[in-house]
Amino acid sequence: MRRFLPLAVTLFLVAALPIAAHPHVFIADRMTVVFDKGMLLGISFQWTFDDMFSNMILADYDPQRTGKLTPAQGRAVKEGAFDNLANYHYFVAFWIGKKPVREFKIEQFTPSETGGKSLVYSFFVPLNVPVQQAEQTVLATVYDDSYYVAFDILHTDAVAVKAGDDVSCQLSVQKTQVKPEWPGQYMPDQLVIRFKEKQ
Amino acid sequence: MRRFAAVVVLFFVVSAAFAQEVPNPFTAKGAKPKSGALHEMTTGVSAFFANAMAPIQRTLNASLSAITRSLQGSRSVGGFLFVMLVSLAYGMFHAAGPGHGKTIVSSYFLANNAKIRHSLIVGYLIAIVHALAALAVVLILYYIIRGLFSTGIEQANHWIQLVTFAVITVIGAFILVGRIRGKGHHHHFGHHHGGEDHHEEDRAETTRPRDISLRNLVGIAIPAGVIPCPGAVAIILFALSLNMLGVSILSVVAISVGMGATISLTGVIVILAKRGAVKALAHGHAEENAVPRRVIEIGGAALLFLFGLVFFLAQI
Repeated sequence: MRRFLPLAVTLFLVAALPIAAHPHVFIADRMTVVFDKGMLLGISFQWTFDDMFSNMILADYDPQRTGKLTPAQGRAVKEGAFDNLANYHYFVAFWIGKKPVREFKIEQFTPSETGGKSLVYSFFVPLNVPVQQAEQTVLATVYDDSYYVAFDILHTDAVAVKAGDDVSCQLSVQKTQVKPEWPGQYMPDQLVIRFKEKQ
Repeated sequence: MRRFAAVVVLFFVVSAAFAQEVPNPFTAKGAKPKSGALHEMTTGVSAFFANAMAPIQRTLNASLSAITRSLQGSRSVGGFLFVMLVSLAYGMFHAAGPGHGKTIVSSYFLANNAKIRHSLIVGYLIAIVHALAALAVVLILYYIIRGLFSTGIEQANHWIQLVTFAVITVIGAFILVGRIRGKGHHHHFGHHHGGEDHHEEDRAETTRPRDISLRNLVGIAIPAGVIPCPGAVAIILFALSLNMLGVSILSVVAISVGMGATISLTGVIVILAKRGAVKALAHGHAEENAVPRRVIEIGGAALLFLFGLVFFLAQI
């Protein structure tokens, strides 16, 4: 047993580590929390892809590499390299208070090209939560649990707030606070948006 | 306690080696997240480690594309060597991810009387086949078919996987039947047995599987490696789009070497875990014909068969 235990531990560590390194697509995500007319209207996302995935998609849909996607090319990108994400809930999840948002729409999807090499997806998810005197909380995660796509580690630096003078809004990051479905389940980081009417 | 520990280790080694490559969620039409408790548990465990590893992968990926881009039109030997070095590291890390033939190798080694050197040979055979398959598929899609690459590659993967998993299922079935009948016999798939394989007396004496031949290793390395490596595909395509065919080939060679190291290491771990488990469970009885060894070997063969079958059905 004494001889076996260190072996067991080493084997476990060595065996568990390798399956870690997996992702094929890397995304730097920026978010903007948008308030208007006394509402949290929703969150806009801006995903900038790594060079290799960008190259694959742009070579397909902008073969002349004009550096600018036409509306028709944009529609083709949406159909060929975005719409299927519906099966993955677009890698995003939201909670209003403690209640998960079961259904949401994707609006204003626009693919673009920056710096002649990076593919960028922009889209908006409406949430429509009225701002009240009492503080409310909206939570958001961006995570692919199939682990094909790796998003940058969530930081409030990558999140902007667009609001008038009538709203006070604070951002922070925490571990996702849901009950794990199995022991040791990995919980991605979660954006915490606290907001209320400014007095 | 010792038995329990042995079983736990074997479980972890096997489940780690069994995580699978998934299709690209962006471009594979109809791709969906996999579900099921076991899948979620293995991805849960892997995601925990993955978050520590993702930055490394991301850095390797970004530096590889940046260096390749900077070498456009250059003939710097140092630059090419650097591309190869980064590709080597990329191959090592990338093959550590799910897929890349590790499942097939792992269950094959559980089912057979494998030695460390078999793992080294088969690891490198798979890596070479894996990278060459990527090169071949990219070149065909890029120069001959010339459709949308991003959807073409997912379709190509689908068909290659369909055939591969059918072959794996058949090999698994052959080995499984052999192990259950308790004969020291190899799978027949794709080979003819030479005269030296027919010692009936030996088989009657032991249920221990025969040693693995080089032909056996080639026979398992081809189906295990022929699914093109998605990492290599991305790099080759990237270099090609910059008109750098030479660099893409150099890079693929280096990626193979890196992947071979990782796949071999996985095989070695599985072989050692099997030995450890057999030893711990045998309790000083003769290990040759001990029940634990038979159970592990039949289990390994069953895993290979089921793995092939499940993934074959998933492709239909």
